[in-house]
Amino acid sequence: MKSRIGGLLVLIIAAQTFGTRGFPESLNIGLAEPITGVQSWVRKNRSSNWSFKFFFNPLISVVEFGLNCVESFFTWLPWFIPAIVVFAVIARTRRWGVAVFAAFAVVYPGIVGVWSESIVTISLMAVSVLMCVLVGVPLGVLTALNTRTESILRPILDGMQTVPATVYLIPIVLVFGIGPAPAAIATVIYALPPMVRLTALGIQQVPRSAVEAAQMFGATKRQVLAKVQLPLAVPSIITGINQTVMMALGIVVIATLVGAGGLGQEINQTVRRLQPGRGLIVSLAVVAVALVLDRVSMSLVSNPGAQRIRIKRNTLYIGLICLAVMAVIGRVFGWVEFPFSWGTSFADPIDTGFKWFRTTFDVVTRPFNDFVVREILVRAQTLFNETITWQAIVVVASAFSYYVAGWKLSLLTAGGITFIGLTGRWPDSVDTLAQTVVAVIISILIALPLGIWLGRRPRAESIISPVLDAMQTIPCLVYAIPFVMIFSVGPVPGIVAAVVYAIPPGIRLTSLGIRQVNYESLEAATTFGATQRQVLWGVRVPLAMPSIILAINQMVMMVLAMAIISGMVGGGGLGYRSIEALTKPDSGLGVEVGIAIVIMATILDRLLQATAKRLQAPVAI
Amino acid sequence: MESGDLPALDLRNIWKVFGPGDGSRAIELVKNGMSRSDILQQTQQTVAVRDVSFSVARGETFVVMGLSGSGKSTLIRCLSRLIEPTQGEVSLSGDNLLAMNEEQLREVRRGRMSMVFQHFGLFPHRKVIDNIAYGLEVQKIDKQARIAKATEMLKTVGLDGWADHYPQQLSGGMQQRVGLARALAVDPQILLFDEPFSALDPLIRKEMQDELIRLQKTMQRTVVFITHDFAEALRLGDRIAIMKDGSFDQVGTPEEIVSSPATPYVREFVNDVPRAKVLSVKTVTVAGTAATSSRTVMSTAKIETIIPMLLEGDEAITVTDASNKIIGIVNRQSVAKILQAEQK
Repeated sequence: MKSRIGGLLVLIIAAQTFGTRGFPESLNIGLAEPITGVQSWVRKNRSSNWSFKFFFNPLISVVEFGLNCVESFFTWLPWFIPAIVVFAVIARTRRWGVAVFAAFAVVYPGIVGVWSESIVTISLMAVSVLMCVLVGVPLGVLTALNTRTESILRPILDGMQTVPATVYLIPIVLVFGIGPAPAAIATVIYALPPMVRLTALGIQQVPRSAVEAAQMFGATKRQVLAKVQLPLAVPSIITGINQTVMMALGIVVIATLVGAGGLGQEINQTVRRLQPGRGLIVSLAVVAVALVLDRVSMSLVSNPGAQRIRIKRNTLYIGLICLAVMAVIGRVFGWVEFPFSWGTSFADPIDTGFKWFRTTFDVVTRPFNDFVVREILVRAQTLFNETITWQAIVVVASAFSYYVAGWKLSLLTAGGITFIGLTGRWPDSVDTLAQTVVAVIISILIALPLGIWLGRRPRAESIISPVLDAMQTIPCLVYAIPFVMIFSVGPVPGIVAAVVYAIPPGIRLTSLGIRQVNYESLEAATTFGATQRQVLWGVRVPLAMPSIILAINQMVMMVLAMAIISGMVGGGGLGYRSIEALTKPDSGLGVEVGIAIVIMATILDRLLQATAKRLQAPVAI
Repeated sequence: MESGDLPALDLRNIWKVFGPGDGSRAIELVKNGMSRSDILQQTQQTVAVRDVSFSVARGETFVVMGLSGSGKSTLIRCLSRLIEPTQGEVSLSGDNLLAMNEEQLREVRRGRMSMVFQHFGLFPHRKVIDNIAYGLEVQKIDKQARIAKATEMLKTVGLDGWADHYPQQLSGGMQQRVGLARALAVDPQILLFDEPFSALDPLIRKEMQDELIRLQKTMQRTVVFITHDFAEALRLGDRIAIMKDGSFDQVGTPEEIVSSPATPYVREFVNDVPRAKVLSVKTVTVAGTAATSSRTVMSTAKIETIIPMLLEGDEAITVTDASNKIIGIVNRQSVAKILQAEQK
């Protein structure tokens, strides 16, 4: 052991002495050029090549047609019809409060004056989610039942989750161009993984004995699937749809970069105009859409035998006819558009409030801003670009990986870091890494204590958890708006927004870990006369450690996802480059940035997962 | 030979090896006397069932008793082909089960064999009545007929009135009655029970055992019953096999096993059994003649039933066999001797 450490020190010193500071531009392998070549080829051949003629272009037309249908249907429909339908569907489960709330959420976009934008967004959601279901459910079934499909699909799905959304967008823009239909396809690709995963999970979770029972009665494979496995997987599939909707709504803002209109575009504009009030109320419209879709889908499935209001077929028909009549009457009298809008009356006071906050707390925010930029970010840049040689960085990082997770990850780390340098994105990556580390440290300092505190207070948790849920559905760009107002444009609002974005799941996972500690272990500690504090630090926290590490892992991933957004508000680094790549568009640059982000995310993810595994109590074989 | 003379179920040299590869090497190693853990280390394979043979006559209840990890669940899945045995033969009234293709296997499962599961294996998304009718539905029997049959079965297991409930609204014991009714609904010749009562609490378990004994009296099906409860095995089994580490330690009637356990392992179970309840008078009969022949008893009666007679008077009791022939006597000493063995 000692000789190893000695050897490592020698290696580090050698790397530092003989290596180069910063990654030399001469080593850039020019990854961008061939891709840019593909880009110009695609541009030239978009109308002549068979793959476009017979596949991509027709696909676009179909999606466009679908979008138009849904959009014109909702535009035709008088505004009160959707509210009534949503109320009725949820009221069937006898949860009246939820029903009223959801109906209110339906009219909320109207009240704040973004009714037509919401319709555009809802059409995008509806079409993308439908496509996700059509593709995702069969894939999920295949994954669950066929081990070969699983071994191919699993790593792809795992990989997709670490790739930031802008990276998906680049090839899509390349192939499909810009517009609402490409945005829908991008959304599908981004939101597909949970659909596949949860369908597969649902099928795999069907009790073995139920499947065996069906087999024992001589059911064919098809009968087992159709009558036992799929019906029992329905709750899980619905959860998958839910997750898909949430993910789709999550990239609603980014999708505007490839031409989706609607609420995303509206939010995008509020950032440019620095109107946090309006940004907030429009974002709440996105939250409202998410909430309605969530509650409606949840009310469609319920446990067998659960109490719900039974409706006779005739009553149902009469109800539908009434709705149709009301819709026609609404059309005739012209009650189509939402009749009033109080949008500005909510937004303006918020804007004023932020301006007041900014001027009043200038004494705090400005020094904080300067401190983070000068003392941390700039120093980190000098450290990694000018003080330490890149060879030394590689050695130290891979030695650490070796210590945590063995030689495989160590090789991956060394190769990954070197490859980032070879793509020519070294300085940008250093920027992003420094920002990420700062944001993660702040997130840990906030989320872990809060999570540990909440984990032992179920009542406080039950109050806070809906707030945390809502925070997760708000598009991440929205978090940035108020902080751009408070701090000036630059990396700091991005960092602060990333912290706010990342802490809800951090708090959640930490408190979950604390809460799920084996009851008997706690009782045992108590019977030995441990104090509350001893139980917490001696039993609860150590046993919750894997969960806490996963919380940190999740926060790292979310902060990295936020890197793109922070690029939109002046954060620099890889985020800024990816926006640049998308808007130019420059596919070569986009791919370089994508690779750098994916490598960073993968290494950090693997390292933290490995740490969590090391901390897990050994399991009996 | 007529099919009626063949055993309903016949297993010959069944082996099951879990793990990568075809398992023949692991079987070789077992035959050479290598231990489980060594085999696992060498081949990454686990031998779950080793060379098990037995046959079950028509109408007989055969109980396989073993602790967890003994391979009993694997064994019952091998004989229904929910798990494919690595080696061996299974025949149902002379038909080779392992040679059947999927279609033929389905036919067997639809009509000739059904199974009751440890955790019930009910379909939570179907009502009780539709659970029971499932086997008939798979056979594409029309709805009216299958509901009629299912309703009848529901009555047989004493659950009429519960048809429109969902399984999870029922207690554990009731759920297993549904499982039983579902298995019976297809009118199978062979019923397989995989620890059906082990998830139930003791009183309900006893009630379910009585129910099964009652049903078996009228139905006379061929039953293979898996359990980890020795007392349950003694109550239900015409014959019992004690399974340990994948093979049978002993096979015999409850009385044979209790009166002469073959291995120390079996003896450990037997030690806890109240013998008077299991053993018949025959095992305590000694040669001799009684002073009076007014007190006689059948040799097949359980010892427990003659204890009041022994307490009543000092003299020995005459023992007769099924054809009323005198075969000997029992007295206080001979009974006391066997009960004393229990104390050791």
